[in-house]
Amino acid sequence: MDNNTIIIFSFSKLAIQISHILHKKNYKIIIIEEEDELSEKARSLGYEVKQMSLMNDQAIASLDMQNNVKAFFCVSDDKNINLFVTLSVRSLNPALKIISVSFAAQDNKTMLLAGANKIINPYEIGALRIFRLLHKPYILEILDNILFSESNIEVSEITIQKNTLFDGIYLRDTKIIDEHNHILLGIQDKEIQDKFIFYSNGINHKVDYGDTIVLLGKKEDLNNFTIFLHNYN
Amino acid sequence: MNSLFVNFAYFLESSKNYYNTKHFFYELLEDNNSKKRKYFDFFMIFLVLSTVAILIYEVNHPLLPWLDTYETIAVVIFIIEWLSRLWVSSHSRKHIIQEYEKCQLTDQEYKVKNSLKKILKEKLSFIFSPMSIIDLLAILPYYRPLRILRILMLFRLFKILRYTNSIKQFRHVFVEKKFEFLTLAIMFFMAIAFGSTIIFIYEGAGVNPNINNYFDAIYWSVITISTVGFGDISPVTIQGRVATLFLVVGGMGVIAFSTSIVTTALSEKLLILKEEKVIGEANSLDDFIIICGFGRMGKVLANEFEKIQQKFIIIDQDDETFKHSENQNFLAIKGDATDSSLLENIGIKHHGAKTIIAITDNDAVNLSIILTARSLNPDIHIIARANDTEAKEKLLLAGAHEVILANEITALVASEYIGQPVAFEAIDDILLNSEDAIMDEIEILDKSNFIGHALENINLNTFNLTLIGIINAKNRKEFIFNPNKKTYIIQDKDIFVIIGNKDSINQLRIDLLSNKPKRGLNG
Repeated sequence: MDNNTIIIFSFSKLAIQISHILHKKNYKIIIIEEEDELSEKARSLGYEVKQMSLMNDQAIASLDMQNNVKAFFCVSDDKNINLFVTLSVRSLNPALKIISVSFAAQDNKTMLLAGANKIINPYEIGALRIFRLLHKPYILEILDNILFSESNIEVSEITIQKNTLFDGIYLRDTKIIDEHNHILLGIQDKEIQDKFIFYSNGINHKVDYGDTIVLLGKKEDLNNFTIFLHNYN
Repeated sequence: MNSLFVNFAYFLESSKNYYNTKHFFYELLEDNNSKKRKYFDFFMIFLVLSTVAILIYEVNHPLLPWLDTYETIAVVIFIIEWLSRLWVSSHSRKHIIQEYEKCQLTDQEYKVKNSLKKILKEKLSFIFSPMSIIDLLAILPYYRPLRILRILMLFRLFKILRYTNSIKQFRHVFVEKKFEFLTLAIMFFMAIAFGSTIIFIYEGAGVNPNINNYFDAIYWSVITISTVGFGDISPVTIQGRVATLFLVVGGMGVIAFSTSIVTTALSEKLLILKEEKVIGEANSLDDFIIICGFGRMGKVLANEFEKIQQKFIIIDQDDETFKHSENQNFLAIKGDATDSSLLENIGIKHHGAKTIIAITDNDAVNLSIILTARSLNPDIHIIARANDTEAKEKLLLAGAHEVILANEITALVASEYIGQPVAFEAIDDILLNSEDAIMDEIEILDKSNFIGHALENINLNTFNLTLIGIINAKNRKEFIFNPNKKTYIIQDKDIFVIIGNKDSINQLRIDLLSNKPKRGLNG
């Protein structure tokens, strides 16, 4: 397995969509599925399938995920199985990026406790999409353009290196981002990993190396900015 | 003569005025979903209660002339109401036309008496219906020679049955449970007959000074079996006391039996009453959304609508989810959203229902909802959830304006996490309307002082807001990303797309509306 590998546990309807999108982005997809019919379906779509259950540690260990896998998706339709597998995979692979599905807001906390890095809730995302369709159609269109289409506007993240342009400065004191026609959405402090701080929350945050800033900008401007930062350093 | 009838029937059929007038009275008197009827019912209840109050006042007071006039006006209204009900109870002209056309087709001679028979039958059926008899009995005592029958005025109270749905349902309980009540009545009369005969045989022949005839024996039986027991008549013999014991025990049984029948039947009707209440409320709404399916997605959606006070009504078949929606005080109906009569009742044809959202976890059901909704109201906005990718096209084909494939959107969002996890956090927060930041829009109204000024006059940093771009409604809704603050000139109908805290956004909205220079605003 190489670092471009994504493992998806259970070939649910959500897994079909995730594997399809990630496959298009040239990730190597491995599906873990116990049922014959679903395994066959995954194979027919061209994915590598390991037909097995992940209900015991030996099976998880046999996948050899330590440092070799980009991310692990736990997207079974069964909430309890998701919790069990998330916890088992986390205990054997402390550094692995695990994304688990949750079907209700009240289950998010237990899933995070089990070790998931990120929770995705299709019902919540779907419902809020319907809500925006009715009440904020412009916002929805813009979000769709930025996030899901081949539009010119992109979201980009830059991790600050030591002794570089942004290291040690206060976000509100710099005009570089403005000058390059970017919008600063916010920052993730390396010391508070689980919390994204929006620029609009009013805090003049000091940037340190290891922090990650998130920018919104036109594709060509973002490319130029990356080159600018590289040359500056 | 025949042709006169037929011509008159055709004249009425084609007359718009006649149709509108009859429809007006139908809405006023019979249409459960009509607002007019609600007001009319309140008015009639008031009228009934006030005339009964006059009757009570009259008992020991001389009748004031204005009260007599009031009574006359009330009775005239009752008569007009009864005649109007008689009119709208059937469509006589249709019978004449149908009969005439049938005769034309079969080459037979049209006889007006056949139509008249049908019309008369229908009208008599109305006249002799229980509610019509109550109406007539309520009018009758006004006739002076029959003043002795003023007690019939109390029948006016029964008229209230017409105007209140809950009492109507109570009446239905008696109709539906008539077998049980009949059994109960037979048991009751047998026990009365048995008890009164025993007491009369043993104590009637001068043994008990209080039992002088068979009526006294029946009176004692009824008072005893109902467990009231006034004590004015009490048995004096052993046989009489034994009969009393049996009657008291039997009486408790009868009361328990009748109570259980009524409570069981009423609890069954409770659901219908609630449903009628919800339908009534839905019909009074001006702008509401119908949510079909209160599953996981429905719950999130309902909570979002609740936050912005958007009116909505939920339809779900499942008992548990229905109870859940009720517990949250949402307007909900337990029923099948593919049932056209249900959708019609809650007002899908009515101008108040703007959008219908089919979000059950079954694509076939969602498709059926779309088609039913479209058949009832072609203009309604339809949003549907597709559970399978293949179903999306079919739902669009059926007539959905928007189809949400939740798994597809979730997968797109999740795929972002792989490449840029921090950016994903930001997107995730925005998508999920987190407390930290929401993406919202603020429109520049055409009277705003900022129109014609550079964007830099609105200093969004003061409000801790981030401007993403501007949509200009005039310019084919073109989106200008991150406009230059110095060179961009604000136009009317500009929509600012901003990210920030909800309170900050609301504050900016208020300040912009007030049109006065404020902190951060130099309009």
